Amino acid sequence: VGLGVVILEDDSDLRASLKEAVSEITKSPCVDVASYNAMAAREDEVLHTSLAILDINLGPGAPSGLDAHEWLVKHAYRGRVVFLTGHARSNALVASAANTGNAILLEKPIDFDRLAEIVMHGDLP
Amino acid sequence: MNEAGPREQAVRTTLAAAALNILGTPIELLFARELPIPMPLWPVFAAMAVGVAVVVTLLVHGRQMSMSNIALLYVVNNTAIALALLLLQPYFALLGRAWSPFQEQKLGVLVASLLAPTLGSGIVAIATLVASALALFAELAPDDLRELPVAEPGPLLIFAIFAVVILFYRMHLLEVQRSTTRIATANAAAAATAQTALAIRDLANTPLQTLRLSVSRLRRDDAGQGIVLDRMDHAITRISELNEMLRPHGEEVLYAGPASFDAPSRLRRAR
Repeated sequence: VGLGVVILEDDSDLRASLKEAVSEITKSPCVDVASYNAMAAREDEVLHTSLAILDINLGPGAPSGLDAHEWLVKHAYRGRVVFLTGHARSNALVASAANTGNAILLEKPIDFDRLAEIVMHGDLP
Repeated sequence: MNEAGPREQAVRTTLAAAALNILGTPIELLFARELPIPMPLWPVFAAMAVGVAVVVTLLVHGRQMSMSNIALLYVVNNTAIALALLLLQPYFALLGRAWSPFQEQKLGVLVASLLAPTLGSGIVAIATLVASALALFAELAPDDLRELPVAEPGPLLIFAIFAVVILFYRMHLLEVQRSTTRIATANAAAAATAQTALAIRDLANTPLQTLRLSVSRLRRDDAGQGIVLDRMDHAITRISELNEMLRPHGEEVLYAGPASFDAPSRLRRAR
Protein backbone atom coordinates (compact mmCIF):
# COMPACT_ATOMS: atom_id res chain seq x y z
CA VAL A 1 0.00 0.00 0.00
CA GLY A 2 1.55 3.26 -1.16
CA LEU A 3 0.40 6.87 -1.04
CA GLY A 4 -2.27 6.30 -3.66
CA VAL A 5 -5.72 7.71 -3.20
CA VAL A 6 -9.06 6.63 -4.63
CA ILE A 7 -11.79 9.25 -4.99
CA LEU A 8 -15.42 8.18 -5.33
CA GLU A 9 -17.54 11.23 -6.21
CA ASP A 10 -20.49 11.43 -8.60
CA ASP A 11 -20.20 15.19 -9.25
CA SER A 12 -17.77 15.52 -12.16
CA ASP A 13 -16.56 19.03 -11.27
CA LEU A 14 -15.81 18.14 -7.69
CA ARG A 15 -14.23 14.85 -8.72
CA ALA A 16 -11.89 16.73 -11.06
CA SER A 17 -11.06 19.33 -8.36
CA LEU A 18 -10.37 16.66 -5.77
CA LYS A 19 -8.26 14.67 -8.20
CA GLU A 20 -6.23 17.74 -9.07
CA ALA A 21 -5.72 18.71 -5.42
CA VAL A 22 -4.86 15.19 -4.23
CA SER A 23 -2.45 14.64 -7.11
CA GLU A 24 -0.74 17.89 -6.20
CA ILE A 25 -0.44 16.81 -2.58
CA THR A 26 0.78 13.25 -3.23
CA LYS A 27 2.74 14.13 -6.41
CA SER A 28 1.25 11.06 -7.99
CA PRO A 29 -1.91 10.25 -9.95
CA CYS A 30 -4.96 9.01 -8.14
CA VAL A 31 -7.86 6.78 -9.02
CA ASP A 32 -11.06 8.74 -9.56
CA VAL A 33 -14.38 7.02 -10.09
CA ALA A 34 -17.95 8.27 -10.36
CA SER A 35 -19.85 5.27 -9.07
CA TYR A 36 -19.73 2.08 -7.05
CA ASN A 37 -19.66 -0.02 -10.22
CA ALA A 38 -16.81 2.01 -11.68
CA MET A 39 -14.88 1.49 -8.44
CA ALA A 40 -15.51 -2.26 -8.46
CA ALA A 41 -14.38 -2.40 -12.09
CA ARG A 42 -11.00 -0.98 -11.10
CA GLU A 43 -10.53 -3.36 -8.20
CA ASP A 44 -6.76 -3.89 -8.58
CA GLU A 45 -5.94 -0.17 -8.65
CA VAL A 46 -8.39 0.67 -5.87
CA LEU A 47 -7.15 -1.98 -3.46
CA HIS A 48 -3.55 -0.76 -3.83
CA THR A 49 -4.34 2.72 -2.58
CA SER A 50 -3.84 3.82 1.02
CA LEU A 51 -6.75 6.26 1.27
CA ALA A 52 -10.30 6.17 -0.04
CA ILE A 53 -12.28 9.44 -0.17
CA LEU A 54 -15.92 8.47 -0.54
CA ASP A 55 -18.94 10.64 -1.24
CA ILE A 56 -22.01 9.11 0.37
CA ASN A 57 -24.96 10.21 -1.74
CA LEU A 58 -24.17 8.92 -5.23
CA GLY A 59 -27.57 9.64 -6.71
CA PRO A 60 -31.07 8.24 -6.31
CA GLY A 61 -31.27 4.48 -6.45
CA ALA A 62 -27.53 4.09 -6.90
CA PRO A 63 -25.29 2.22 -4.45
CA SER A 64 -24.00 4.72 -1.90
CA GLY A 65 -20.61 5.48 -0.42
CA LEU A 66 -21.60 3.16 2.42
CA ASP A 67 -21.95 0.32 -0.08
CA ALA A 68 -18.53 1.23 -1.41
CA HIS A 69 -17.13 1.10 2.11
CA GLU A 70 -18.68 -2.33 2.60
CA TRP A 71 -17.10 -3.45 -0.68
CA LEU A 72 -13.71 -2.22 0.47
CA VAL A 73 -14.03 -4.01 3.80
CA LYS A 74 -15.13 -7.21 2.05
CA HIS A 75 -12.06 -7.00 -0.19
CA ALA A 76 -9.72 -6.61 2.78
CA TYR A 77 -8.87 -2.99 1.95
CA ARG A 78 -5.94 -1.97 4.16
CA GLY A 79 -6.13 1.78 3.65
CA ARG A 80 -8.04 4.43 5.49
CA VAL A 81 -11.50 5.69 4.56
CA VAL A 82 -12.81 9.26 4.62
CA PHE A 83 -16.49 9.88 4.02
CA LEU A 84 -16.72 13.35 2.47
CA THR A 85 -20.40 14.18 2.59
CA GLY A 86 -22.76 17.10 2.24
CA HIS A 87 -24.92 16.16 5.19
CA ALA A 88 -22.81 14.48 7.84
CA ARG A 89 -24.43 12.34 10.50
CA SER A 90 -28.13 12.79 9.84
CA ASN A 91 -28.52 9.36 8.33
CA ALA A 92 -28.52 6.44 10.75
CA LEU A 93 -26.36 4.32 8.42
CA VAL A 94 -23.86 7.15 7.90
CA ALA A 95 -23.56 7.72 11.64
CA SER A 96 -22.99 4.03 12.14
CA ALA A 97 -20.36 3.78 9.35
CA ALA A 98 -18.49 6.77 10.76
CA ASN A 99 -17.98 4.86 13.97
CA THR A 100 -16.11 2.01 12.31
CA GLY A 101 -12.41 1.68 13.10
CA ASN A 102 -10.72 2.87 9.92
CA ALA A 103 -13.17 5.57 8.82
CA ILE A 104 -13.89 9.19 9.56
CA LEU A 105 -16.67 11.44 8.43
CA LEU A 106 -15.99 14.94 7.09
CA GLU A 107 -18.53 17.45 5.98
CA LYS A 108 -18.08 19.41 2.75
CA PRO A 109 -16.61 21.91 2.20
CA ILE A 110 -13.09 21.34 3.58
CA ASP A 111 -10.19 23.51 2.50
CA PHE A 112 -7.06 22.46 0.70
CA ASP A 113 -4.91 22.46 3.85
CA ARG A 114 -7.31 20.16 5.67
CA LEU A 115 -7.36 17.85 2.67
CA ALA A 116 -3.55 17.83 2.65
CA GLU A 117 -3.45 16.94 6.35
CA ILE A 118 -5.78 14.02 5.79
CA VAL A 119 -3.93 12.74 2.73
CA MET A 120 -0.46 13.08 4.21
CA HIS A 121 -0.93 12.44 7.89
CA GLY A 122 -3.95 10.30 8.06
CA ASP A 123 -5.80 12.24 10.75
CA LEU A 124 -7.78 9.12 11.48
CA PRO A 125 -8.63 7.51 14.79
CA MET B 1 -55.34 4.43 17.00
CA ASN B 2 -58.41 6.45 16.05
CA GLU B 3 -57.20 9.21 13.73
CA ALA B 4 -60.41 11.29 13.96
CA GLY B 5 -60.12 14.68 15.63
CA PRO B 6 -61.96 15.49 18.89
CA ARG B 7 -64.85 17.14 17.04
CA GLU B 8 -65.33 14.23 14.64
CA GLN B 9 -65.33 11.84 17.59
CA ALA B 10 -67.87 14.01 19.45
CA VAL B 11 -70.18 14.15 16.40
CA ARG B 12 -69.92 10.38 15.99
CA THR B 13 -70.76 9.54 19.62
CA THR B 14 -73.60 12.08 19.77
CA LEU B 15 -75.06 10.59 16.58
CA ALA B 16 -74.86 7.17 18.22
CA ALA B 17 -76.66 8.48 21.32
CA ALA B 18 -79.42 10.03 19.16
CA ALA B 19 -79.77 6.78 17.18
CA LEU B 20 -80.15 4.85 20.46
CA ASN B 21 -82.87 7.31 21.44
CA ILE B 22 -84.73 6.81 18.14
CA LEU B 23 -84.44 3.03 18.26
CA GLY B 24 -84.59 2.47 22.03
CA THR B 25 -87.36 4.75 23.30
CA PRO B 26 -90.13 3.00 21.28
CA ILE B 27 -89.36 -0.19 23.25
CA GLU B 28 -91.49 1.38 26.00
CA LEU B 29 -94.50 0.96 23.68
CA LEU B 30 -94.06 -2.82 23.74
CA PHE B 31 -95.02 -2.88 27.40
CA ALA B 32 -97.94 -0.43 27.14
CA ARG B 33 -100.53 -3.23 26.89
CA GLU B 34 -99.38 -4.69 30.23
CA LEU B 35 -100.24 -1.50 32.13
CA PRO B 36 -103.36 -1.28 34.35
CA ILE B 37 -104.26 2.10 32.81
CA PRO B 38 -103.21 3.30 29.33
CA MET B 39 -100.11 5.49 29.23
CA PRO B 40 -99.78 8.49 26.88
CA LEU B 41 -97.77 7.74 23.77
CA TRP B 42 -96.71 11.25 22.89
CA PRO B 43 -93.68 11.37 25.26
CA VAL B 44 -92.16 8.45 23.29
CA PHE B 45 -92.70 10.17 19.97
CA ALA B 46 -91.54 13.52 21.33
CA ALA B 47 -88.24 11.95 22.53
CA MET B 48 -87.82 10.23 19.15
CA ALA B 49 -88.50 13.52 17.35
CA VAL B 50 -85.78 15.22 19.38
CA GLY B 51 -83.45 12.33 18.46
CA VAL B 52 -84.26 12.77 14.76
CA ALA B 53 -83.70 16.54 15.03
CA VAL B 54 -80.30 15.94 16.67
CA VAL B 55 -79.29 13.48 13.93
CA VAL B 56 -80.34 15.89 11.16
CA THR B 57 -78.61 18.85 12.81
CA LEU B 58 -75.39 16.88 13.22
CA LEU B 59 -75.45 15.51 9.69
CA VAL B 60 -76.03 18.96 8.21
CA HIS B 61 -73.95 21.19 10.50
CA GLY B 62 -71.80 18.76 12.52
CA ARG B 63 -68.54 19.64 10.74
CA GLN B 64 -68.91 23.33 11.51
CA MET B 65 -70.20 22.99 15.07
CA SER B 66 -68.14 23.80 18.13
CA MET B 67 -67.53 21.17 20.79
CA SER B 68 -69.79 23.01 23.21
CA ASN B 69 -72.69 23.02 20.72
CA ILE B 70 -72.25 19.31 20.05
CA ALA B 71 -72.23 18.71 23.81
CA LEU B 72 -75.40 20.82 24.09
CA LEU B 73 -77.11 18.67 21.44
CA TYR B 74 -76.07 15.58 23.37
CA VAL B 75 -77.60 17.00 26.57
CA VAL B 76 -80.83 17.95 24.73
CA ASN B 77 -81.17 14.41 23.35
CA ASN B 78 -80.53 12.88 26.77
CA THR B 79 -82.93 15.29 28.50
CA ALA B 80 -85.68 14.33 26.02
CA ILE B 81 -85.24 10.69 27.05
CA ALA B 82 -85.19 11.56 30.76
CA LEU B 83 -88.40 13.63 30.42
CA ALA B 84 -90.13 10.82 28.55
CA LEU B 85 -89.16 8.41 31.33
CA LEU B 86 -90.36 10.90 33.94
CA LEU B 87 -93.76 11.04 32.23
CA LEU B 88 -94.10 7.31 31.51
CA GLN B 89 -92.67 5.58 34.55
CA PRO B 90 -95.53 6.55 36.92
CA TYR B 91 -97.70 4.24 34.78
CA PHE B 92 -95.17 1.44 35.08
CA ALA B 93 -94.96 2.03 38.84
CA LEU B 94 -98.64 0.96 39.03
CA LEU B 95 -97.44 -2.56 38.23
CA GLY B 96 -95.98 -2.66 41.74
CA ARG B 97 -93.62 -5.57 42.36
CA ALA B 98 -94.10 -6.73 38.77
CA TRP B 99 -92.09 -3.70 37.66
CA SER B 100 -88.28 -3.63 37.69
CA PRO B 101 -87.77 0.08 38.29
CA PHE B 102 -85.33 2.37 36.55
CA GLN B 103 -83.75 -0.17 34.18
CA GLU B 104 -83.82 2.54 31.49
CA GLN B 105 -81.99 5.00 33.73
CA LYS B 106 -79.38 2.38 34.70
CA LEU B 107 -78.73 1.60 31.04
CA GLY B 108 -78.82 5.32 30.23
CA VAL B 109 -76.11 6.33 32.71
CA LEU B 110 -73.79 3.62 31.37
CA VAL B 111 -74.45 4.73 27.79
CA ALA B 112 -73.75 8.32 28.84
CA SER B 113 -70.40 7.27 30.30
CA LEU B 114 -69.46 5.71 26.96
CA LEU B 115 -70.92 8.22 24.49
CA ALA B 116 -70.95 11.69 26.12
CA PRO B 117 -68.82 13.98 23.96
CA THR B 118 -67.42 15.94 26.92
CA LEU B 119 -66.99 15.43 30.65
CA GLY B 120 -69.51 18.17 31.46
CA SER B 121 -72.23 16.85 29.14
CA GLY B 122 -71.67 13.34 30.51
CA ILE B 123 -72.10 14.44 34.10
CA VAL B 124 -75.19 16.49 33.22
CA ALA B 125 -76.67 13.49 31.36
CA ILE B 126 -76.05 11.11 34.26
CA ALA B 127 -77.43 13.63 36.77
CA THR B 128 -80.54 14.23 34.62
CA LEU B 129 -81.33 10.52 34.38
CA VAL B 130 -80.85 10.03 38.13
CA ALA B 131 -83.01 13.12 38.82
CA SER B 132 -85.80 11.72 36.63
CA ALA B 133 -85.88 8.61 38.84
CA LEU B 134 -85.68 10.56 42.11
CA ALA B 135 -88.50 12.83 40.90
CA LEU B 136 -90.69 9.74 40.50
CA PHE B 137 -89.97 8.83 44.11
CA ALA B 138 -91.03 12.29 45.18
CA GLU B 139 -94.16 12.08 43.05
CA LEU B 140 -95.44 8.66 44.14
CA ALA B 141 -97.91 8.23 47.00
CA PRO B 142 -96.60 6.38 50.12
CA ASP B 143 -98.77 3.35 49.29
CA ASP B 144 -97.33 3.10 45.79
CA LEU B 145 -93.79 3.49 47.17
CA ARG B 146 -94.31 0.54 49.47
CA GLU B 147 -95.01 -1.60 46.39
CA LEU B 148 -91.60 -0.85 44.86
CA PRO B 149 -88.49 -2.97 45.57
CA VAL B 150 -87.05 -1.70 48.86
CA ALA B 151 -83.48 -1.34 47.56
CA GLU B 152 -84.31 1.41 45.05
CA PRO B 153 -83.00 3.99 44.34
CA GLY B 154 -79.75 2.61 45.85
CA PRO B 155 -78.84 0.37 42.87
CA LEU B 156 -79.48 3.25 40.47
CA LEU B 157 -77.14 5.50 42.48
CA ILE B 158 -74.45 2.80 42.40
CA PHE B 159 -74.85 2.57 38.61
CA ALA B 160 -74.53 6.36 38.44
CA ILE B 161 -71.31 6.35 40.51
CA PHE B 162 -69.78 3.66 38.29
CA ALA B 163 -70.89 5.59 35.20
CA VAL B 164 -69.13 8.75 36.45
CA VAL B 165 -65.93 6.78 37.11
CA ILE B 166 -66.06 5.22 33.61
CA LEU B 167 -66.76 8.66 32.14
CA PHE B 168 -63.69 10.17 33.85
CA TYR B 169 -61.53 7.26 32.75
CA ARG B 170 -62.77 7.49 29.15
CA MET B 171 -62.08 11.24 29.05
CA HIS B 172 -58.57 10.58 30.37
CA LEU B 173 -57.98 7.97 27.65
CA LEU B 174 -59.24 10.38 24.99
CA GLU B 175 -56.82 13.03 26.24
CA VAL B 176 -53.92 10.56 26.14
CA GLN B 177 -54.93 9.57 22.62
CA ARG B 178 -55.06 13.21 21.53
CA SER B 179 -51.64 13.91 23.08
CA THR B 180 -50.20 10.91 21.27
CA THR B 181 -51.65 12.14 17.98
CA ARG B 182 -50.25 15.65 18.62
CA ILE B 183 -46.78 14.21 19.32
CA ALA B 184 -46.91 12.00 16.23
CA THR B 185 -47.92 14.99 14.09
CA ALA B 186 -45.12 17.13 15.53
CA ASN B 187 -42.61 14.33 14.93
CA ALA B 188 -43.71 13.96 11.32
CA ALA B 189 -43.33 17.72 10.80
CA ALA B 190 -39.86 17.68 12.39
CA ALA B 191 -38.83 14.75 10.18
CA ALA B 192 -40.06 16.58 7.06
CA THR B 193 -38.13 19.73 8.07
CA ALA B 194 -35.04 17.65 8.79
CA GLN B 195 -35.18 15.96 5.41
CA THR B 196 -35.64 19.30 3.64
CA ALA B 197 -32.65 20.77 5.49
CA LEU B 198 -30.64 17.67 4.66
CA ALA B 199 -31.50 17.93 0.96
CA ILE B 200 -30.51 21.63 0.88
CA ARG B 201 -27.18 20.90 2.52
CA ASP B 202 -26.54 17.93 0.26
CA LEU B 203 -27.18 20.05 -2.82
CA ALA B 204 -25.27 23.11 -1.65
CA ASN B 205 -22.16 21.58 -0.17
CA THR B 206 -20.83 19.77 -3.24
CA PRO B 207 -20.55 22.94 -5.38
CA LEU B 208 -19.15 24.76 -2.35
CA GLN B 209 -16.46 22.12 -2.05
CA THR B 210 -15.62 22.53 -5.74
CA LEU B 211 -15.39 26.30 -5.32
CA ARG B 212 -13.26 26.01 -2.18
CA LEU B 213 -10.71 23.75 -3.88
CA SER B 214 -10.77 25.81 -7.08
CA VAL B 215 -10.06 29.05 -5.21
CA SER B 216 -7.19 27.32 -3.37
CA ARG B 217 -5.86 26.16 -6.69
CA LEU B 218 -5.94 29.68 -8.17
CA ARG B 219 -4.18 31.05 -5.09
CA ARG B 220 -1.43 28.47 -5.39
CA ASP B 221 -1.03 29.36 -9.06
CA ASP B 222 -0.59 32.96 -7.94
CA ALA B 223 -2.76 34.29 -10.73
CA GLY B 224 -2.52 37.83 -9.32
CA GLN B 225 -6.21 37.97 -8.49
CA GLY B 226 -5.81 37.95 -4.70
CA ILE B 227 -8.56 40.50 -4.03
CA VAL B 228 -11.02 38.71 -6.28
CA LEU B 229 -10.18 35.37 -4.68
CA ASP B 230 -10.64 36.90 -1.21
CA ARG B 231 -14.12 38.00 -2.22
CA MET B 232 -14.91 34.51 -3.52
CA ASP B 233 -13.61 33.01 -0.28
CA HIS B 234 -15.83 35.34 1.74
CA ALA B 235 -18.83 34.38 -0.39
CA ILE B 236 -18.09 30.68 0.09
CA THR B 237 -17.73 31.20 3.83
CA ARG B 238 -21.05 33.02 4.02
CA ILE B 239 -22.90 30.27 2.16
CA SER B 240 -21.15 27.70 4.38
CA GLU B 241 -22.39 29.59 7.43
CA LEU B 242 -25.91 29.48 6.00
CA ASN B 243 -25.54 25.72 5.67
CA GLU B 244 -24.34 25.54 9.26
CA MET B 245 -27.54 27.24 10.36
CA LEU B 246 -29.50 24.40 8.75
CA ARG B 247 -27.49 21.74 10.58
CA PRO B 248 -29.62 21.66 13.76
CA HIS B 249 -32.77 21.17 11.66
CA GLY B 250 -31.22 18.33 9.70
CA GLU B 251 -29.78 16.59 12.72
CA GLU B 252 -32.89 16.79 14.88
CA VAL B 253 -34.04 13.58 13.33
CA LEU B 254 -31.77 10.68 12.53
CA TYR B 255 -33.50 9.31 9.45
CA ALA B 256 -33.17 5.72 8.40
CA GLY B 257 -33.71 6.05 4.64
CA PRO B 258 -31.20 5.13 1.94
CA ALA B 259 -27.87 6.93 2.06
CA SER B 260 -28.15 7.73 -1.66
CA PHE B 261 -31.22 9.86 -2.22
CA ASP B 262 -32.70 12.30 -4.72
CA ALA B 263 -32.24 15.68 -3.02
CA PRO B 264 -33.93 17.81 -5.76
CA SER B 265 -37.03 15.57 -5.71
CA ARG B 266 -37.17 15.77 -1.95
CA LEU B 267 -37.12 19.58 -2.13
CA ARG B 268 -39.80 19.64 -4.82
CA ARG B 269 -42.01 17.43 -2.66
CA ALA B 270 -41.52 19.79 0.29
CA ARG B 271 -43.14 22.72 -1.60
